[in-house]
Amino acid sequence: MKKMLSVFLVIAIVTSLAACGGGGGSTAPASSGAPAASDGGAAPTPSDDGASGTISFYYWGDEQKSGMESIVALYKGVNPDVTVELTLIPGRDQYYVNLQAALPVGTGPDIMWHNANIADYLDYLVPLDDLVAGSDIDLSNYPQVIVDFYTFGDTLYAIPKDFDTIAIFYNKAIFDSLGVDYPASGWTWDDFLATAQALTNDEHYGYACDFNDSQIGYGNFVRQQRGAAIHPTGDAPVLVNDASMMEGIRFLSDLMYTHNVATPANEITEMPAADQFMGGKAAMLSHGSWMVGPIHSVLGDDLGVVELPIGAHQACQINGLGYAIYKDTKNFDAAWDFLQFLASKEGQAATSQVVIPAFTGAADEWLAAYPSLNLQLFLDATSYAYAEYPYVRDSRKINQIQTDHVSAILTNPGHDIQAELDAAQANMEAALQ
Amino acid sequence: MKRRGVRGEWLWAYLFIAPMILGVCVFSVGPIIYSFLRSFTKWNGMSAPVFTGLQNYAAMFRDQKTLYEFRNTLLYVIVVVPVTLLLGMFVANLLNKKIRGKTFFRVIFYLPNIAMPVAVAGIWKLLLNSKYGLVNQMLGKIGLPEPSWLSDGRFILWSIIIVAVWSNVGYNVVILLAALQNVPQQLYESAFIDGAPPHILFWRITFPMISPSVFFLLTMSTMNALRVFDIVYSFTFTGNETPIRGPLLDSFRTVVFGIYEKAFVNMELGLASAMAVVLFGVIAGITALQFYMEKKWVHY
Repeated sequence: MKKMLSVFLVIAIVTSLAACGGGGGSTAPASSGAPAASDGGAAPTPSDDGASGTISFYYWGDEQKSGMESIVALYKGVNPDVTVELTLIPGRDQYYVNLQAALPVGTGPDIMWHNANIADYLDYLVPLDDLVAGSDIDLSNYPQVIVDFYTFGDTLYAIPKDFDTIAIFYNKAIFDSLGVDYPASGWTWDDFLATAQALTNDEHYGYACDFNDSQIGYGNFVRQQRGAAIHPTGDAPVLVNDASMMEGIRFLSDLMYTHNVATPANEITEMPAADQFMGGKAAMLSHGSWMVGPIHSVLGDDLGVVELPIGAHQACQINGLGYAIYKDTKNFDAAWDFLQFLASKEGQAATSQVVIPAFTGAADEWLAAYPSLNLQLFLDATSYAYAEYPYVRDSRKINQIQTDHVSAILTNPGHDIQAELDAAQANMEAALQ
Repeated sequence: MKRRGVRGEWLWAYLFIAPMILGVCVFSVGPIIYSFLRSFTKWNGMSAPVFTGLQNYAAMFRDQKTLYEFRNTLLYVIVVVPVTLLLGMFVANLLNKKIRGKTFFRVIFYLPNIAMPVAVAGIWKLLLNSKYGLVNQMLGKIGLPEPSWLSDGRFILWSIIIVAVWSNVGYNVVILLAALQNVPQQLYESAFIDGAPPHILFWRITFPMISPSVFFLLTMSTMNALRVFDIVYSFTFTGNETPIRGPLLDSFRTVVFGIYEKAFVNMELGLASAMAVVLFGVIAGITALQFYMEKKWVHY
C-alpha cells in the first residue's frame, strides 16, 4: 500500500514537471502552428485582409497598459481573425533584458516597440520601406525627428508611436508669494537665472532637475548650446568634449554651486527633482511631458508650464517609441496587418489619454486633459527637438560612460570640467572600438 | 531475491531525488559550464560568440571599476560576516534565557530576513535620507554630526552594511538559538557545581557544542556576502530617472553588481562570464579554506 502510494507520488511529480516544461513550450508552437499552414502551404496568396491567427506584442510600462488594451480592442473590431496577445514587461531595463534573451533564439514577440535606442536591434527587425511604400501609411503624418530615430541609412525599421518633449514646470504659488512674474515663452538663460535667483530662499531653491539625466537634466542645456549630449560626427564616432558640451554642463554646475539657485546634486541623489518640486522645495523643474498628469495631481492649478529657456538657440530633448516587426515572425501577415492599424490615426489616438501620439492631430485627448495648462508647447517642441540617443550601436554602454563622467563633474563643485570631458571622450572612443 | 530488492531500493532512491538532481543540472551545473565556456569569447548575447582566449580576463583586471568592485566587496564581507555572527550569537544567548514571549522575540528578529531586500532597502532609504530621515533627526537631537548616508561616497557603503546586518542577523539568531537549546543542561549543571564562572561555561561548553552551527553560518554567510547584489542594486535607484553613476557608484559597486552591469546593460556577456568565473573561484577557494580550518575548532 505504502509502495503504491509512493509510485503514485513519483508519477505525479514527474508528470507535473513535464507539464511545467511543456507549458512554456506549448505557447510558442500554438502561435507558430497556425502560420505554418500559410507559410508552408505553397504561398496561398495571403493578402492583407486575409491575415489571421495569433501574434504576440511586448511592451513595458504600467501606465501604457490601458492604451495598449484599447488599441487591441479596437483592432479586434477591424480584423476579428487576428488575436493579439499583449505581454506587459514591467520596466524598460527588464524589457530589454527579455528582448536580448528572446530575439536571438526566436522566442520573442512578433511585434514590439523600441525607443530611439534601437541601433542594437536592427538585425532582428523587418525593414519597412517597401512595405510602407505599398500601403496607406504616409510618413509625413509623423514628426520628421521621430521618423529619423528609426531610419538608418535609408532604411526605416519602426513606425512612430508616441513622443515626449521637455519643458519647465513651475509652481505659481511660490512665484505669487515672492511677487515674481511667471516666465514667458522666448525667455533666455539670463532670464532663467534671474528668475531662479529671485525664487531662492531658505525654504526652497529656484530650480531643480535630475542633474545626471541627459534627457531631462544636463542634456537640454547642452542642446541649447548647439551641441548634443552624445552625437556622432563625420570623423569621430562620438563627440562629447567640445565647447557646447562644456558650456551646457558648466551652466548647470554654476546654477548649483556658483549661484546656489539650483538644488545641489547630493540632495537630488537622495530625493528626485520631481519630488522636491512637488514638495515645494524647488520653484521650477525641467521634466518631460509624461509628468504633466502626476505633477498636476499634486499641485493642481498652481502648476504652470513654459518652454525651456533659450541659450545659443532654442532646443530640447525628445524621445519616443516606435512599433517594429520581428524579422522571423511566424505570422508576418497578421503582424503587418496589425502594424498598419497601429500606424493609423485611429490606432494612435487610442492611447492619447496617456501619451502624445506621434500621428499629427491625434493628440486631442491629451491636450484637453488639463485645460489650465498650455500643453500645445510640448507638441510644438518637435520643431526644435533633438533625439537624446545617438544613432550608434552600443549606445547604452557609451551613454553610461557619459553619465559616469557627467556625474563626476556635477557632484563635485569646482571640478575640472574640460579634463573630465576629455576623459569621457577617450573612454567612449575606446568602448566603441 | 534479496539482491533484486536492494537494487529496487536504489532505483527508488534515484527516482525520488531525480527531480532535484535534474533541476540542479539544468538550472545550475549547465549554466556554470556554459558561462565558463563563454568567458573565453566576445559575446553580446545576440550575435554569434567570437573566441578571444584570455582577453576578457586581461580586460577585467585592467578595468579600474573591477578594482573598486573587489575592494568594496571585500570590505563588505569583512564587516558584515563577523558582525552578524557576533550580534546573532549575542541576541541568541539573550533569548536562550527563560524569558516571557521568547517566540515573539524570535519572530521579531527573524522578520527582517524574510522581507524582500528591495522593500527593506526602500524603507532604509527613507530612514537614512540626510534631510528628512529619522536617523539623522535623532542624531541631530543628541548633537551628533548628520552624514549624507545616501549621497556621500564615504558613507554609502556603510549604509548598505548597516542594512545588510540588520536584515541578516535574525537568521543567525534562529539557527544559533536552536543550537543553544540542544546543549544538554546536565553539562552546565555539573560545571556549575564545580564552580565554573560564566565565561568558562561559554567557552568550554556552549561554544564547542554550537560550533557546527557557527561553522555552517560562517560558510553560508561568507558565500552570500561575496555575492551581495540586491541591496546594492536597490541603492543605485533613488527615484531619479537616471540611477546613481560615476564616483558615487564606484564607492559602493560590488562584484556581482559589476557582473550584472556588464551582462545586462553593456551587453558584454563574455566579459561578465569571465568575472563570474573569477568570483566562483574566489568563493570556492575561501570555502575550501574554511573547511580546512574547520577541523581545528569545530566539534561534532
